[in-house]
Amino acid sequence: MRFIKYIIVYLILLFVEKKFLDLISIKDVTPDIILIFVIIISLREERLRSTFIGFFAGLIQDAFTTAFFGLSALAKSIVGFWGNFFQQPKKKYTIAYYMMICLVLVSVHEFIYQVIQKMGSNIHFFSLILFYIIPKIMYTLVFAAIAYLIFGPAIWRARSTADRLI
Amino acid sequence: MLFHRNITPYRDYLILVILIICALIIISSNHNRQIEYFKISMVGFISAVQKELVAINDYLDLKEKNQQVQSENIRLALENSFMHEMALENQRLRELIGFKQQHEMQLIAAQVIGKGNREGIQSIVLDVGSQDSVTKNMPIVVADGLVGKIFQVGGDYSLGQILFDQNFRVSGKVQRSRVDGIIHWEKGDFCLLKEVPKRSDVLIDDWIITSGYGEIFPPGLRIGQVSEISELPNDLFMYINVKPAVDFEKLEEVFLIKSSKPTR
Repeated sequence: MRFIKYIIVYLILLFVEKKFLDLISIKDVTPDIILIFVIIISLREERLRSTFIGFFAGLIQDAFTTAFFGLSALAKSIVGFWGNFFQQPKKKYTIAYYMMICLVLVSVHEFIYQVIQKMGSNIHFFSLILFYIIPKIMYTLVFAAIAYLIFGPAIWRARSTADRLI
Repeated sequence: MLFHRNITPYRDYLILVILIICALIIISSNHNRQIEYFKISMVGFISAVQKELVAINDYLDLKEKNQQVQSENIRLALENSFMHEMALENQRLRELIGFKQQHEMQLIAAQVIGKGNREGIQSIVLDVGSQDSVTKNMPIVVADGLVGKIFQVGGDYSLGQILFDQNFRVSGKVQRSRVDGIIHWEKGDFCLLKEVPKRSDVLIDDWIITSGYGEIFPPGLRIGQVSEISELPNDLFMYINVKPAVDFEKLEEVFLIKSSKPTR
């Protein structure tokens, strides 16, 4: 049942990303809401599940871009795997701790994604960090904070449910 | 059994490594037919949902659109009669000078039902596909100029790669001086006209058009206007910023160039 919910939420996010996210883009930078979804999953689920969910979430997301197909799958499966290390089974996530996790995971994701995507282009590494990676991280973090403020307690409760199931 | 016991603590790591290898294999075989088929299926699913929503939206805007269409119709009718006169005059003049390179374009009208927007990766979803005779690499245009080209085709939808995509290249030339270059987007609201040697005849506000050297784009389509020119001391080429002729924020209806064959 939980996985059906994930699929529904994922499809809604995918649709929102494709249809509405360009409306709030700032200088072509848009938040990666699918990435936030994968991070939250990694905090709720066991490692193997979150790795698989990251992989397939990324793979489907890749189908709608002209970038290398499989690149998001690669970056998001690593995020799904690594995010699991930050799980706190007996504690509630504070916003500071949650944002720190998001900062680390979004940075890892963007670094892998942008470096491979821009490989071979004549964009200087410094420009890549300054104009592509940092703006994307900042904008995604804003949405991660919004997700916490709206769904924070739900994230924590669901993780407990996952603990009982494991 | 022993193998199973040894592998269990590392199971998650092993799966991660397998998934990474899978992802790398997929990345390295991006032009594989199965992968293209998968991408098309995914786009088809989303575009089917988008189509329904667009239909609802269209219905709500119907009255307003009807008025707009009526006034547009009158304007176009007047323009058409004026242009018909011009075409006849043009034909007479061409016959006089023996000009034989006129091209007639067959167009397919399409509606933009979705936009992909990530830095450097820009695409649009169109409501026409192979059922409407759309094929890969068809140029996408609007009245203002070049929008991009088709890169994925499904049954009744297709995916277009637009000018603001870092993987997109088109050979262009300065309309006034016929200087050639390559149009490429890296970031921001402007494209770059690359490979133009220093001291070439390029001025601010010059129009850049497609050169027609490749097999994809017919010559003469407007790409954009030169907005900034700069030169670096140790570089052989000029840096030319081009402001695209098309407003990509407002793309709703586009046309695909089916063929661009000589008429005479």
